[in-house]
Amino acid sequence: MHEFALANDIIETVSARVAPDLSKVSGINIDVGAFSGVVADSLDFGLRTILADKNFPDVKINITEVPTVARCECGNDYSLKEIFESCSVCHSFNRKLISGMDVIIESVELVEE
Amino acid sequence: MVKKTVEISAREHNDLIAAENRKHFFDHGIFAVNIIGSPGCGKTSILEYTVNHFNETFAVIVGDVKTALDSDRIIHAGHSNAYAIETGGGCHLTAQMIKEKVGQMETAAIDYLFIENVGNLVCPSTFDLGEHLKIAVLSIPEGDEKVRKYPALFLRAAVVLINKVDLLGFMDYDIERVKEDCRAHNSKVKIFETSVKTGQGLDAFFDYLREQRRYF
Ligand SMILES: Nc1nc2c(ncn2[C@@H]2O[C@H](COP(=O)(O)OP(=O)(O)O)[C@@H](O)[C@H]2O)c(=O)[nH]1
Ligand SMILES: [Mg+2]
Ligand SMILES: [Zn+2]
Repeated sequence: MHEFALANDIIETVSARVAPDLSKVSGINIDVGAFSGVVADSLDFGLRTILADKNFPDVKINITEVPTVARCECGNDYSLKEIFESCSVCHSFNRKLISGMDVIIESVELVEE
Repeated sequence: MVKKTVEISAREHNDLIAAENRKHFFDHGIFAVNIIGSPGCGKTSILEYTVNHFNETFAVIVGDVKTALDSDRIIHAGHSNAYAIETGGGCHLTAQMIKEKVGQMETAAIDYLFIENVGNLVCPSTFDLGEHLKIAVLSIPEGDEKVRKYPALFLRAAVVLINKVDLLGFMDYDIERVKEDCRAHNSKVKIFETSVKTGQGLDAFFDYLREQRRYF
């Protein structure tokens, strides 16, 4: 359950970088990449548990699963959900994964004063 | 309600500490290696072998959920510079744990740091510790489907050790397919077939480490 550790880091990051006062946060939107190694449901559960523990049970957590995007040696960009999907143009596996490998805090919703 | 777009990596908290570790290692000339694999694949055995055959100065950190048994094995193998991190239930090491441990260590005279991560193919794979090389260890008795089942690790590992090759004759294990699977995840992956029983592949692995340290 490394999702729990990641959930902790996300809350740390939101309070360090976006909203030191978590009571101002009404929602957190997160993108989970296909090959991030993170299970979206577990992350969701971790975040809700930690926020409830800190007495902020009303923060809305919205997790979007995004595909991983590869750039092939032929120049073609293609998205993949399965690692054994080769390039849709030339069928090569020589590629660089350029996005969707990570978990991103996409945006934070704040209550207005 | 205002929506503030931030686009910050969820890993930032860990990655900032990992970057500090990496700088510390660089400043001290330490080449750091993060070793990841299932329980029983042979991580500690490889490190015991390393103690006796890798003629360089190094330290070892062993992460385990509970007990310091594995770091004791390294010490018994004749190496005093070994440390345990007990995660107390945690399924992976974090950059913070490494930072704290390295702070207590004598690092002035070492050229390499080997970190045995908690035995697990999922959780350790995405937590950067500040290492220069992420190594995945597979072993023959685990079966030949591990690479397909754990893409997060094999996408990130620069090196794969296929260990216990002395057992190849006893099992149905398609090693060529395993290598192909590794390359499908990372076309630049460096693969070594190793055995702690016979020593196969380990000298080549050590030479590779020396070469990598020269350019890190
Ligand atoms: N036959 C064989 N056994 C090995 C090899 N490497 C490790 N082992 C055995 O595998 C078991 C688990 O090894 P260990 O190093 O504790 O695995 P760890 O959990 O990954 O640290 C031990 O009984 C080792 O003796 C190898 O190359 N060949
Ligand atoms: Mg071990
Ligand atoms: Zn292509």
